[in-house]
Amino acid sequence: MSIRALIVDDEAPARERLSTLLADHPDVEIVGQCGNGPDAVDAIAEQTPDLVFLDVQMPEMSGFEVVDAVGARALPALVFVTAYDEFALRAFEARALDYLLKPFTAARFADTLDRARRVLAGDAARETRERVADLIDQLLPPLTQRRLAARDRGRVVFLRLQEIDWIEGAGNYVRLHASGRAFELRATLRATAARLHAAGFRRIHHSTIVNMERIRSVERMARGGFVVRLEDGTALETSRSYEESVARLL
Amino acid sequence: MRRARTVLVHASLWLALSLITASQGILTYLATGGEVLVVTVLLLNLALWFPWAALSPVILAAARRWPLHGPGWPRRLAAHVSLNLALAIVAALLYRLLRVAIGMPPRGNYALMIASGLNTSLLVYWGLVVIAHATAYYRRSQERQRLTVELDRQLAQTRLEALRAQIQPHFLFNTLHAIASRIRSDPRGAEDMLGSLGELLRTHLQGSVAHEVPLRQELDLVDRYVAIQQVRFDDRLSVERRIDPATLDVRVPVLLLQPLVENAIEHGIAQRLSGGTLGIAADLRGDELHLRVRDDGQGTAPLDESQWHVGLTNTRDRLRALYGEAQTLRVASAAMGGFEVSITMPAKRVVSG
Repeated sequence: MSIRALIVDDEAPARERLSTLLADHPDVEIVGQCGNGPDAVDAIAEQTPDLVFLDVQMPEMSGFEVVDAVGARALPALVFVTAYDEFALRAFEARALDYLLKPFTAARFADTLDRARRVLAGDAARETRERVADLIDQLLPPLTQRRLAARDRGRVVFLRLQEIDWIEGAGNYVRLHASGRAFELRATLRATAARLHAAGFRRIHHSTIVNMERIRSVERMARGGFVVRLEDGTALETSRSYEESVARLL
Repeated sequence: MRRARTVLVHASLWLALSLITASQGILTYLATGGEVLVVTVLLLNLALWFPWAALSPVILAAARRWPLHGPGWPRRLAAHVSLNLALAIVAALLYRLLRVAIGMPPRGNYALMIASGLNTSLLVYWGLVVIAHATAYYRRSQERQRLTVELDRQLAQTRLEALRAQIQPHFLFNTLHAIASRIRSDPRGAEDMLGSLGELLRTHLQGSVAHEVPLRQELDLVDRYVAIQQVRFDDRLSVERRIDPATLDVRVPVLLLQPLVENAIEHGIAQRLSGGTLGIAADLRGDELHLRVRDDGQGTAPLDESQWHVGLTNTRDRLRALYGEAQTLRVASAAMGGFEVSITMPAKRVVSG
C-alpha cells in the first residue's frame, strides 16, 4: 500500500526539494503540491492524503492555521517543515512531534519518513493527532479571543471575530462589516474564509462570507437560491456553488 | 548664567591688560627715577583700555558676521577697515571723556588724539578679529570631528542591522534550502545563488571605510539580493526598475537602498498570497537625486515616526548626518495599499579618473 503525500510550501524551490527527495522513496506517491494555506485546506479535504508536509511560515494563512481550519483531529499524519522558528520548535519538541528543519539532508528526511510510516502503520496515529490538536490550542489563541487588524481611514482597528457580521470580497481586499460599519483588510476572500471556518464563518456567495451566529432567517427565493437575513436586517444572496452548504442549514 | 560668566571673563581679561600696562608705566617711572604716582597711572591705564573693553563685543560680533575667508572676503575686509576707523574715533572720544571725568583732561587737540589712538585701535581690533577666527575654526573642527564619529557610529549600526537581517536565520536557511533544491535540477542556478549569497555576506562583513558609494554599486548589491528572493518567491515577486542612467555615478550612502528593499519584500510582498511588485526608481531633478522604493504588499505606512522600524530610523539618521537639511525622507502608504519610501538628496557625482 503506497502512502499518499501532499506537499505544502509557499516557496517553489522548497516544494521541489521535497518532491526530489520523495522520488527516492517509491512507496510514497505525491497527490498534490500547494503553494498556500487555502489551497492546502482544499487539497486535504479533496485528496484525503495520508501524509502532509506542511510549511509553518506562509503568507496570510500559516501552517498552524491550516491545521486549525481542517481540524487537528481530522488530520492525516503531519510533518511540520520550517526554516527557523524557535517558539514552534520548542512546542514540537515538547510534544515529540516530528519536524524538518530547512535545509535538511536526505538522511534526515529518510528518518522522518520512516517515523511517518510507523505512525501510519500502527495505532499511534490517533495519539499523534491529539498532540497536534494540543499544539494548535497552545500556539493559536482561542477563537473567541482572536482579532483581525483592519483599517478604517488611516486608523488600525482590532476587531474581535464575534464583532464581525459579514465579510465582502473586493479584489485584493475584504471589507469587514461590523455593527453597520465597514473596515478594510488586505487579504483574499478565499484565505479569509479558510481562516475563519473554525470560528463559524461560512461562504454563501463567491464574494460573501457570513458569521453564522448573526443569521436571523434564510428564505428560499422564487428564482432559486436563498436570501440570508442577518440580525441587523442586512439581506445577502447566495450564489449557486455555495447553495448546498446553505441548504444544509434548513 | 552662561552670559554672566562670559561678561565676567571678558571684564577680568581687560582688567588684567590694564594692570599689566599700568605696572609697566610704574616700572618706567621707577627706572627713570621719577616720582611714582601709582593711582594716577592706574587710572590713566584704565581710561585707556575701558573704551576698547566696552567696544570689544561689537568687534567680536563683526568678526563672526564678516569672516575673512570664502567668496566675497575682499568686501568684508573693507567693511572691517571702515569699522576699525569708526571705532578708533569712538574710542578716542570715550577716552577723552573718561580723562575729563577723572580730572585729568588731556592736552592737545582731537585730531592728534585720534591719530595717536590709531596704533592701539589697529592692535586691539585685529587682535580680536584673529582671536574670533581662531575660536570659530577650533569650534568647527571640533564639530566636524564629532560629526565624523557620529557618522562612523551610524554606519556601524547600519552594517550591524543589515548583517543581522542578512543572516536573519529565516532568510539564510530558506536560501540554503532553495540552493539545495537546485543542485540536481539546475546546477548553474544553484551556483549563481551561492555566488550572490556569498557576495551579499561579503559586502556586509567587510568593514569598508567609505560612507558613500556610486549608486551603481548599491544597485548591484540590491540586484543580488533580489535575485535570491526571486528564486524563493518565484512568480510572486516581480520587479519594476526605473533607473535614469544619469544617476548611476551619483554618490549615495553605502547600504542606503538595501534595508528598504529588504523591508519591502519581507514585510510587504512575502506576506501576501498573491505576491506583489517591488518598484525601485532613481532620477535627477536639477541637482537633486530622487530615489523611491515601493511595494504593493499588505503593509501600510506607520502613522508616525515612533512606529518606524530600526532600519528606517537608521536610514533617516544617516541621511541627516551626511546631508543635513539638504535631504528628505518620506514614508507613505500607496493608494492601492503598500508602502513607499522616497528620498531626495544632493546629487554629488563620483570624481572620475
